Formats: sequence, structure tokens, C-alpha cells
Amino acid sequence: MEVELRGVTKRFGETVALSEVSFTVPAGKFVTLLGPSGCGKTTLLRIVSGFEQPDAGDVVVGTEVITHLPPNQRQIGMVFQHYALFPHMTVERNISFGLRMRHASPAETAKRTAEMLDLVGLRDLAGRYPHQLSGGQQQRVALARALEIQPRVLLLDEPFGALDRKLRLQMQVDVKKLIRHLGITTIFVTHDQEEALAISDLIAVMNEGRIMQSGAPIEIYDNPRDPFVADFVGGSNFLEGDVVRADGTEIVLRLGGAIVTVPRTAEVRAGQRAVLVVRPENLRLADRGSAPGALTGTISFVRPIGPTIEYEVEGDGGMKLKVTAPRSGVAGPQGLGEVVAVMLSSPESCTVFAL
Amino acid sequence: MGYLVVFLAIPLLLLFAFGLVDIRAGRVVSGSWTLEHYARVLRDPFYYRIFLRTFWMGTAATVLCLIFGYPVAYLFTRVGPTARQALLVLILAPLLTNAVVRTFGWMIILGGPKGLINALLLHLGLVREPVKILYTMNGVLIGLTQIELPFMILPIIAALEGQDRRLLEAATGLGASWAQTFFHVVVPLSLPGVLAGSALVFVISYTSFVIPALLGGGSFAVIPTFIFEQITALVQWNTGAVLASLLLCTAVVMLWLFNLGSARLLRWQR
Repeated sequence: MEVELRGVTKRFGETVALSEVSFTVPAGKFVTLLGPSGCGKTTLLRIVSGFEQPDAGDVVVGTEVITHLPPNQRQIGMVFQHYALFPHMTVERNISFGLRMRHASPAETAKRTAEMLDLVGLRDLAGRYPHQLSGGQQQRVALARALEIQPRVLLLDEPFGALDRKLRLQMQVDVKKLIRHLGITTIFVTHDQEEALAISDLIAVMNEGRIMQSGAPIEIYDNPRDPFVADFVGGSNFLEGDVVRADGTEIVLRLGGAIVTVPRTAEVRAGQRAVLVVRPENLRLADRGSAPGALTGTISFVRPIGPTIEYEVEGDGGMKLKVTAPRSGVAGPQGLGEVVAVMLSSPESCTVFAL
Repeated sequence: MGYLVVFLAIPLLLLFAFGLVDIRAGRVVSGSWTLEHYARVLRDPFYYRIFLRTFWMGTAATVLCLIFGYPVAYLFTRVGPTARQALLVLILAPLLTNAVVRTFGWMIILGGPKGLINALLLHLGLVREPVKILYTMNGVLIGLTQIELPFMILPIIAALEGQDRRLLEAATGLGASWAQTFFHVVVPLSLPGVLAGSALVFVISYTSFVIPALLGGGSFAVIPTFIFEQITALVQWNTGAVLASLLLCTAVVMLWLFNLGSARLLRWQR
């Protein structure tokens, strides 16, 4: 079911946690609220679940305004950050809790609980207590418990945060597949941009109580609307310079001693200061002198991380550049302390913001 | 450790030993080892009745403390810091007065036709005849409940404070009402505190002396008051020693059984 937020505002004393957030989660989509801690994403989730009341604005599920509905009448499933499993109940009792509280018939409860146990593959562990389960198993119980009540919307509050990396990646895939299979509208909260890019249908990037940009993961990654999004999602190089020329199709920038031409993506005029945002993987290293007009600098750090190598290059005028290169088939200089040229691989994937 | 041996283990051994020898005119008859005193007590239904009354007194005091204590403990964990301070003083107040003085206070309140309670009831016309509370089991239970409430309330507070508030949100989110959350989540999770408090209150009540002696009166007999009478008034050291060791042993056995039961109830804990 579609979830719509209409001008939702929330203050905690002097701090504004959410400032007129309007946003629509399309029915059946997996939408991620992505942002640094304190950006308001968890508050937004708690407002949807009913644990917080907005100071202004409305929450609409389908066609029903649920802003003032108490949380136990919302029929919204939630998976908490540390799962919040009932420690005194077995896996089975945890999962059946929602239906038991609704006074569903024992036969129906048993049937549905068995289905949920099968769905998350925990049938053999039905009689265990939460402390006898691994982190991944606990998370599956939390998910099954939330799905048992056939929620209109599923909320996931950083559910992978407590898992180690390998298990986290596996669980992301499993959970996404399961949710896609069920076709349930899902709002997922995380501060991990990699996680958000990996499993979302849509991402809403949040900062300081506002949604900065929303869209498909690739769109947000390739066309960040402002420097915050560009920096938070994927990480970027921010290169400051002067606009030499700007016409209908191109912008020419002078960055220190280098001249760079990129497609026009911002309203800038010649003579203005601007910042060029370049992804580390959109830069490559070359021999100095092989590319006149390119940026130059000294390799100050080399970080081989498996399939790629990250270089830190200290450019002219104190500019710091991050460059990633695939490890295979790289020719040219790559040693610490070497002076190199840094080239743009594809100018059309860069973004310019006026300063 | 040395203190424990000198002031606990040795007196306890002497206590058991006094039940196994003949004592005449306050002197141990040497070489008179016998099981006769135990046999005499264990054969006599009279003592069983006193033990049963003592057990009932301990159980009733425990249940009363739980009924009155749980709401106070729950309230304590749900109010702000100022109310907490005030509540804590109130909770601990019974422990701040001397046992004998406090019990005399209860005698004034509960006692006779002119006691505070009867005066009030008669004045309000709620009863025609004065109600007999002092020198009855009810009077004893009132006194025991008051003094032992802190021992019930404090462990329950500890258990409630340790609860993860997100569990309550999880329950609510799954559709549970306030009452359902309370009885399905809050209460079961506070069970460790309830059981610890109950064990404390039961043992203290089961072996208490001052309150049953003063509020129960001369004809009210539970094991501790009976032992006192045997030893001080009747100089029956043998009977006193036998009953004292039986009181101790029954208390230990009941605690052990209670712990077995608790462990079963709490097997969800890690």
C-alpha cells in the first residue's frame, strides 16, 4: 500500500528533527531513507509507526490518514535495530505474538506461524529462545514476527547494523528477495550508502530533517542534486575552480593549472567560482606530461583493497584527490611519492555546482 | 571467613547438637546422645500444626507484599526523577525505625476497642462492635507486610528497570493493547525480581519473631515465638533446639525447591 507523508514536521525542544517532509512511497516498493545519524530518518520511521506524533503534517497509508491512530491499530510491521525479540518467548511464540494479541483463532495462528517459520527457514528452531540464536537467526525471527500480522507497510530500522559484514551482505540479499516476493511496501532506514544502493528501489537522502533528493539509486549516484548528496552517497572529490566559459552545452573550468571541460549541469556564468564533483572511479592516473592540461599531483597514499586500489593524490595548491582504479591491467605510475597526471575518465559523469 | 566460622558455623553446630543430647537444669548430660528429642517432636501433630501456621504466615505475607508492592515498583519506574526520590523515601521508611518501636506503633493503631482503627470505624458508624485485629493472624500479617514491603519492591524495581523499552514498542507495534503489553511482556520479564523478592519476604516472615510475638499476643504460636517460650519460660533447651534446627532446615529446603521452580520458570534467561 502506498505511504504518503504530507508536510511532516517534528521538533524536540529547540531542535527541528523533521522540517516539512513530504514524500511518497509507492505501493510495493522498497524505499530507503538514507542519511547520517541525527538526520531525522529514524524519527520519520517512528512517526510512520506511530511511536512519535508529528507536530504538523499527516501520514497517509493507502487512502487512510493514520496520523493520530495509536501504533497498535496501524497494522504496520516493524523490525527494530536490535530486533527487540521477546526474550521470554520461544521463536514460535515471538512470531505468533501479533496474531495472539489480536485474538486470532488458534488454528489460524498456528497455520500462519508455520508459514512464517517456513518462509524464514526457522522451522527447526521454533522451540528455541532468542538467546540461543545467532544474530542472523534473530533477525529472521524479527522479520517473521513483523510479517505475521500481514502488515500494510513494513518498516526496517537499520536491521543489518548488528551483523558482521559477510552475514550482512547475505541477509541484505535474502531480505530483499523475500520482500520483493511478498510485494510489500517497505521503508528501510540506514546510514550505510552501500547498503542503500544495493537493495533499494528508491532512495531518499536525508540531512538535517529534510529530504535532499529522492530517486532511483543509480540516478542519485550519477546525478546528485547537491554537494551533500554527492558526498554522502558514494563519496566524491570536490574540486574548486573558476568558470572560464559556460555555454548551452559545456562548462569549462580552470582547476589550478588544469583546464577541464564538462557537460553543462548547473547554472553558472564565466568568472564565477564553482565546484566540480568527480567520483573516485571516474579519475585515472597517467604519466605526467602525457596529458597536457591535466591535473597533476603526488601520490601520498596507496590502499589496495582487493579488487581495486585507492590512491590519494595531493594535487597542486593543496587539492586532495581520491582515485580508484581496478587492480588488473593498470599501466603507468602507481608508486607512493610519484608525481602523476590525473585525468577525467568520462567528463559526462561529473557534476558542477555553483559556489 | 573466620568470622563466619566463629559466629555462624559453630553456634549452628551447637544448636543442632543441643537437640541430640539430654539437657537437664541447663547442663548437658555428658555421653547422652539420643534421637529421642527429634522423634518426640516429629511424632507429635501439635508441632505440625504450628509449622503449618508458620508456613501459612510466611506465604500470606509474601502474597500480600507482592499485591501491594508490584504496583509501587511499577509506578516507581514510570515517574520522573523528583517523584522517584519521594517514592524511594516512602519505600524505605519502614526500615528506618526500630522493629520493636514500630511494632508498638501498630499495637496502638490496631489494638483493642480504643485503638485507632476501631475508634475510626466506630466513629464513622461502619461497625457496631469493635473489630478484633490485634492478637490475630490478620494483625500479624499487617505488621509483616508493612515491614517487608521494601524487600519485595526493590528487586522488582531492579527487574523492571532492566527491561528494554523497545520490547514494549515492539509489542504495541504488533497490535498489543496496554494491558496485553503489561501482562504478556512487562510482568513475565519482571519475574526474576518477583521471585527474588518473594524468596526474601517468605524467609524473613517464616522466621520472624518480634512481630508475631507482639502483634500475635501470648496465645498466638508460630515456631519462632514457640522456641522463645520453650527456652526462656519453660527452659526446654532440647525442644527449643530441635524446633530451631527444623525451622532452619525447612526454610532451606523450601528455598531450594523454590529455586528449582524459579529456574524452570526462567529458563529463557541466558
